[in-house]
Amino acid sequence: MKSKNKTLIIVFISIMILLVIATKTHRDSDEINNKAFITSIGIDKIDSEKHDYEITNNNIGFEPPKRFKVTFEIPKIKSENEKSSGESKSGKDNGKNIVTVEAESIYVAILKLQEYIMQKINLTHINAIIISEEIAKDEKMLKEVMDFFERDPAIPAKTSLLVSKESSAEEILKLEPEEEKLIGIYISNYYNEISTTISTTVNIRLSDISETMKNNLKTVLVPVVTKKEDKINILGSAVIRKGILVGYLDGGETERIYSIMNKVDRTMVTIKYNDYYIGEKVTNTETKMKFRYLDNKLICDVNMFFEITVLQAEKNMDMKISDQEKINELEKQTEDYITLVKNKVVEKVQKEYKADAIGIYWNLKKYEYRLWQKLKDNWDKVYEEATVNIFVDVKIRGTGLME
Amino acid sequence: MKTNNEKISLKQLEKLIIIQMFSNPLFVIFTPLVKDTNNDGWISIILCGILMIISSFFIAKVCEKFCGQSLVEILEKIFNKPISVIVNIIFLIKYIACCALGLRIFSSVISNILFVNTQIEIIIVIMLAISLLLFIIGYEKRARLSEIIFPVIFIPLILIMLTLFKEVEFSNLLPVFTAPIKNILWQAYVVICIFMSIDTMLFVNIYIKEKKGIFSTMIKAVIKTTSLYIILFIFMIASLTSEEMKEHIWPIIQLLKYVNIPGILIERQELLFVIFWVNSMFFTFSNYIFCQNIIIERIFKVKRGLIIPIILCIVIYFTSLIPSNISVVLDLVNIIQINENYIVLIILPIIIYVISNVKKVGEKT
Repeated sequence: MKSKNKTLIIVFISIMILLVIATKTHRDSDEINNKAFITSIGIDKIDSEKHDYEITNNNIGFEPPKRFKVTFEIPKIKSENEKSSGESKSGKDNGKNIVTVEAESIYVAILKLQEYIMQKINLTHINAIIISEEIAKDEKMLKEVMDFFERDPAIPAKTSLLVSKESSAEEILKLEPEEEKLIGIYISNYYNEISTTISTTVNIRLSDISETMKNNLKTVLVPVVTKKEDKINILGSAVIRKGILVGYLDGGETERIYSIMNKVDRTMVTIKYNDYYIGEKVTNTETKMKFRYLDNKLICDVNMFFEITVLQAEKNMDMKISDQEKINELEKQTEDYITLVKNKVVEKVQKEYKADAIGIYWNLKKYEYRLWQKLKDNWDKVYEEATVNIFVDVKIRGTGLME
Repeated sequence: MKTNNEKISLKQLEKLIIIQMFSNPLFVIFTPLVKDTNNDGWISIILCGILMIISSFFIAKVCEKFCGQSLVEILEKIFNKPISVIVNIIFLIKYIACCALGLRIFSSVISNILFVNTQIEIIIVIMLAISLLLFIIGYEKRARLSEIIFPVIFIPLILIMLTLFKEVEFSNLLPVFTAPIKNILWQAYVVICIFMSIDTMLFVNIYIKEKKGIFSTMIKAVIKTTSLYIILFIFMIASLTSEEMKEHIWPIIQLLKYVNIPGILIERQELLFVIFWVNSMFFTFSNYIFCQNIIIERIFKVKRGLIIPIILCIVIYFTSLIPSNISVVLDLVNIIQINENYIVLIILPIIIYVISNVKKVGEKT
């Protein structure tokens, strides 16, 4: 390389260094000890007489009212000695810090938390966000909360969202389940492991609900968490329609809605057949919706197909399930039962909550776009008056190892 | 600086074109595309690909006709020096603007998801320094480097896409053929910015070894890039839905948040993709620096050195800081997309090809 070029490179590097010094230096390098990893956040509403305020010449300096009570769950990072002894210096240790901050917005709450814990807050490990019933019933506040979590790139899209019922989000986060003291990790494990075997609650991603906040037609079911004798209980769902909580569904109802939407891998049905209780495992479901528009009324035919395996029957019952005639009878009885319960829950969400929980609008838009274009301007009325017919086809594929 | 071995093969050229096209547009095109065409954006991308194949024909023919010459000499031969100087200075301004806006977009994305507390100025300076390094090593070495980088960028990308299969619901692509034809055609024209860096072929022509086969190389690159963008679009709609995509400035970041590679120890796996994407950005910026340097060298008859690229880097640095926020940047990108690309990518190559044939200038192809 020529000496002239060497000089130029030196000049260039000097210019670059000067530019770097002129601006602020790199600030993203942090020691892990200086970080506070938040595993879950609980958000409660503070009742304030007047939430809305305006800054005018007369009230400059007026402090905005504190509207949110935000609770943070921060795991304690133990030293090696503490880990081996199982106890901290201060005695019995639950492995977490619960800090509650009152603020006018979620971001201000995080800033206040920063002052309190003197560590750099890291939001990339949030596993669960629990919002209180009051927040879920306040359209404006719920939209604010969801917007914050969606806007911040550090928050994982797969963070679970739950609504706390009958107790505040703070109370839920203060619980210490024996299996796992950290509520965020408990919920994450619950959805990763346990919920694959049951379907009375279904995990909701932040993005699922954020779409509901913007799209007034979409309804979403958010899992419900309750406190039951100092134990955490995740069961059922809250119906969020037009960005506001309109009602609740219990575990069974949630399962029925999700099976209509093809979102359940497996579920159980117990029916009474000739005075015998028979437990059946649904191994495969398939749902197809067909639409008709007759006499200014939308008719939605929901055709459901179930594959079932008999898992449990009374040992000494005086009939063999493997008999084809009996199987046909059992299939018919199961079909009737499923049709009945599905109809009930669909009627409940349609008539009582006026919520399109089974995604009729979404399917209509996808598969009958022209009809959707015709009906979309008056959708609320059309949906309310729509007839939903549920047709169930059950096939028993197996009876286990017994006849 | 080594200058005696700066010729590249057609295979290297193909890889360079693909890497350059897989950079800035990735973050810019999808939101406006979905806003105008809903689920039918893939039709616009296909139409744009077809348009670019036609454009590639004329660019390739011009390159073959004027082998080893840049646009400065080509325009001088076809018209005269003043016209050549004016057109090339417009190109110079365009490349500075593209480079500056690209850097601004790049630094905004990086500071949003990777270095949250780092000032964008730091990111821009470092990026320019590395791009300049690629310029210093020469075009041929840069092309060889692209051969190594190519699988490093695209194989992980394919693997990441495969992991998303579990998350996507392809029925979200319905309904199709619902967008007005006018919007689809308009977006087919707007997304031409994917192929924005193809016009640099008219300058880097001086580095191409072979006289023949440029057209087939460009077609391959255009088809591969079009396919890549269609796959990305389909995955984005299937995963996020068009309604959600409209709300995000960078929908691809939202898509990558769903990446979950089982068994991997990295916590934020979406950043893997960003790391590979950053590699492609170095090539885009260094390519622009090459072109700007060629224009200045050949117009002002300056000897090759480091002073010009350093000055260019400083100009690019300050230009990139002019827009007050990312919305202004995206508006400016839109202006360039709408007003300039079709002249550069379609009209100019056709004019050069036709007039050179009429005047019988250049070699026969």
